[in-house]
Amino acid sequence: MGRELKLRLISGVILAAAVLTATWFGGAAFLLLSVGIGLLVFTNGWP
Amino acid sequence: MSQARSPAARGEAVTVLLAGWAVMIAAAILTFLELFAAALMLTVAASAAAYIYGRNKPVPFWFGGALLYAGAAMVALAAIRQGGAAGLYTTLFIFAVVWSTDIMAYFVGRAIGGPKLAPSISPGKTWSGAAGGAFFGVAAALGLCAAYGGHPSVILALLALVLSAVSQAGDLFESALKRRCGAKDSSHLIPGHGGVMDRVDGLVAAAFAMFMMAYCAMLFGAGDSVGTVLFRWSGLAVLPAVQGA
Repeated sequence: MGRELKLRLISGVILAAAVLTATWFGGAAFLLLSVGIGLLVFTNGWP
Repeated sequence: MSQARSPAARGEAVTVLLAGWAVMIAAAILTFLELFAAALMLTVAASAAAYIYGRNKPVPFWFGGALLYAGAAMVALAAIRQGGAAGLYTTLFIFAVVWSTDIMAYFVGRAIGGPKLAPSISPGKTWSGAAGGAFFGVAAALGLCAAYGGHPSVILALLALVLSAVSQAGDLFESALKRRCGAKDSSHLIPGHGGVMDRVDGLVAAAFAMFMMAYCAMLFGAGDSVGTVLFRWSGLAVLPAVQGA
């Protein structure tokens, strides 16, 4: 397995775990996640 | 934004970007207060204003779209999770469709290969991958419905198919945008991934599609939240004993 794929897998699993945890708890945790995604898309998502 | 500009034009562009930030922060506060319609209207109005203002000013062509895209992502995701167990189910439903589509499109496309889906936009994507991703996206959605004790139906399969197609279209849209801007990766925040947009492009598109479809259904009395609408479409009349606020 290539280094890039391994890195992609590990960060993907960590990201999924964080997202699922916030999803499970809902409420403020998920609202913060939604707001964070929106702001990240606006700031980092564009060249 | 790489072309040379006068200091005045650059200053004006920075001012516009700061105004965009102010709009996004205001929309974030409204979203956090669960005022979703107000947050969405604010980003739509700001996007329209940016478009009108940008016709004769040095505003980046993507600016209005970025405001709308980011605002819609924020509002749709937050609104979908509302409604207790129904919101949890709906959020998991979207994750199941989008993540299965994304992962299986990659592996099926690699295993089968064949004609390219959109070679000028994303040379790696194939029709076989798109079809495989859609198939497993639908299967994951129906599997989740069954695991919740619901009744997988043709309507639910069609809904999952639409969400899978929309998530793949969102993926292609982001690739097209990156090509237009001449960028390889949209950012390097997440190690090993192309960027934040690469991880959330399909999710954002699918979440907004789900939000709009359920919102339209709500107008016809199908439920009082996105979650309750999907609960009804899944044949889940009684809320199962699942935790989650």
